[in-house]
Amino acid sequence: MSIKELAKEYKAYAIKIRREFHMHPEPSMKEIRTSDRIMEELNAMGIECRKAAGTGVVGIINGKGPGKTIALRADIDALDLEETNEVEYKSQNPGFMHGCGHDAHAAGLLTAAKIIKEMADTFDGKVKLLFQPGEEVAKGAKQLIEEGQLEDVDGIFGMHLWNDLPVGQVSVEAGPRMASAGIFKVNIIGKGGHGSMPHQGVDAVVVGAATVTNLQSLVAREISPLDPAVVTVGIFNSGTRFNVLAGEAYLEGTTRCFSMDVNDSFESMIRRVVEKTAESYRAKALLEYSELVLPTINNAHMSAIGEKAVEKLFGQESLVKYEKTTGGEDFSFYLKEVPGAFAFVGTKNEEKIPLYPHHHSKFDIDEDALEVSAALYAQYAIDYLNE
Amino acid sequence: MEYEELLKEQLDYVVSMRREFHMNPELSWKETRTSKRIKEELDGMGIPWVACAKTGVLASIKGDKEGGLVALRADIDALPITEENDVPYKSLNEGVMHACGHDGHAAMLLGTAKALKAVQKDIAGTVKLLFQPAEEKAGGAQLMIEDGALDGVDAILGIHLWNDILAGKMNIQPGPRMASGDAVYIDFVGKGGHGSLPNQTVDPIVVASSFIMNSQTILSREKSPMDSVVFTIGDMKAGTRFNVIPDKAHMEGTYRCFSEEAREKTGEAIKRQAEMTAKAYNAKAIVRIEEAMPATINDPSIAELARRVGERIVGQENLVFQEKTTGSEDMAYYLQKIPGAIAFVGSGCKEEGRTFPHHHPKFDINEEGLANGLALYFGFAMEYLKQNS
Repeated sequence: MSIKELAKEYKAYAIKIRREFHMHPEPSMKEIRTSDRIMEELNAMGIECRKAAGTGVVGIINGKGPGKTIALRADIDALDLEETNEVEYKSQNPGFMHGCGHDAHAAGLLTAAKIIKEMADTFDGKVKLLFQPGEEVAKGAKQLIEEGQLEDVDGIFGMHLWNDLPVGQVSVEAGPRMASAGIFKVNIIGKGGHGSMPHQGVDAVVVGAATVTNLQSLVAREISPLDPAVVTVGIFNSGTRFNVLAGEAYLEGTTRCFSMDVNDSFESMIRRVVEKTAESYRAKALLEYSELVLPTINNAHMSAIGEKAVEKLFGQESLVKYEKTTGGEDFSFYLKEVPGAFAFVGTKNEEKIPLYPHHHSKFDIDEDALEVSAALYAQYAIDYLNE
Repeated sequence: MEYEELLKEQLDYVVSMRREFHMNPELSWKETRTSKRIKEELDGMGIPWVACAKTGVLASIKGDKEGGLVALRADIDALPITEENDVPYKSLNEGVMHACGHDGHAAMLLGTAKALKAVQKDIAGTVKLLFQPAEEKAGGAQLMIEDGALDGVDAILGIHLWNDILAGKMNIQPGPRMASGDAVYIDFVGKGGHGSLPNQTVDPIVVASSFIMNSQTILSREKSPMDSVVFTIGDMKAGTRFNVIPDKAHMEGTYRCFSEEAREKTGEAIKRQAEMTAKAYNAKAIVRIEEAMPATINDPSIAELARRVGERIVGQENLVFQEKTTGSEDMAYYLQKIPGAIAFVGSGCKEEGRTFPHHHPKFDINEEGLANGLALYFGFAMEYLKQNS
């Protein structure tokens, strides 16, 4: 049987396991039941597997002879969100919900594992299954990399089921797909005093305001107009009373971009503006900057393999172009280590499922997408290894 | 000096009244005991009075000769401060303290009443004594005026005992002495959204920051470099999370000026800059100005008259210069209505470490200053009426 036919045959399995995961959502890095169940399923398929990164699972499927190694990644964590869907597979874990589709990612990859295992005599090399914990908190990918899980890997493929695309459609184009996300925290230290005697103090409210306005020029003047970038100050808190000169101010914000160069320069640009602005007012600023996720940038060659796989499976009309999004993905950390591609797999079907955005308490997917995702994982791995 | 003996005779009385008031401090609008005692003392002197501004007292001493009408003002309220002094006359009212010298003001004006009563036949006109409540909270002066305390009054003198000036010295200057103090509340209303999609929002943090920066030019570019104006945003709050753009930013500030014109212009400029900066960003500014205290401005001729009286009391060498301050005082309301002046009478100590600033839990006055305040109240009233009869 072909991959497509096997995917159809195992669709009932995919739906069953997806609904099971949906009923038992678990928070990031605490996917205990989920990872135990993944181990049981892989063991039942005769696939060698072990826990990794705490509550993650790594499985290995060897082909008929030696060759390259392709990693397939599915994230498995849920959100702290109260589900308001009335469905038979509704979350049984109050306060937690698979509101982003990771239940289907895990189910899709398990189904693909079944297919690949059956077709192990059609390829050389090996397929490494990465069931990744903690995507929502951007910890799982980092931890798997720290544990060396990518050291024997030549390429990687991952996907996100996507409610903005109709079911049956897939986008896996080259270049930037999702944005970086950084967080900065700024403590401005001036000198407090009475509001009627500003000259005796250093007004932290003014320094904070100057910092916010000066930060605007990073996007307007320093970063190329061709590189999309965002610098947002989400919190500006300072002072206690209208007539007391504020001695300190606190700013907190986020950065987004689609280029590794811009991402690498954010911290030093922000540090310069923040510290020098403060100094120009006789104040001091302390910056704390951290990268939550990097930009997710698809390797051209790895994207091409994905696009061909989609065409082969579902025809040219299934392959679509989709504008990159400002959301972030910790798949980006893998892409920094090895060449890879990340696909958006459509789940929208308003005739069957009311449409709600990801992270909404009424989020749900058209389960026809499971057939697509399982087939695409398998096709990608086998095409890559046989290249 | 004329009446020197008479004034000296009042000193023990003034000190004992001051200590009594100090032991029994009362908060703004709650000066019931203080006001009752003032009335009793006035009754004892045979001076008629009427209640004024709730817990205030308005007394009147009509001289035997015809003449003008001059007013002397003392504020009588205390502060919500726990006294830390260890003195025999320490506050008996836990948590409340005469930490600004108003006990001394009330006592000096009672002593003045006694002295004036003694020379009633020499007085050419009438002296009104304003024992004013609630200076610290503001509102006392306004209500005294509403209740008619200034009706027919030609001129007024107020005294503040002042610890920054040594006892034995005083300061009386024409022009602005204390600043106006108004409060401003601004909400910048934008449109919230996700921090990664700023184009779908109107970011009120950027709008508020721009306003704060733009408003600096009110001081650096709009007002005359010769005018002293303060504008401070003391409180700025916006946002909940690093990656969420909030709907609005809230700020609170104060502005201080030394003239009504500057006050009006500054208020207008703040409003204009907030509203127009907001509009420039497609946001909206809701500006609320809460007018509080006007500037305290001494009338030049009244200040000059008081200065000459002061010179006779302490000598020219002890009339000191003092820069105007950005603090506020509700004496300002009287000075908006009629010519008048506020004088600062020294109550500081020579010895190191004994003088604490006003509103401090260890604040105390050097009682030697009381004699000069008494003499200034008395001398000013007599001199003014003499010149205007």
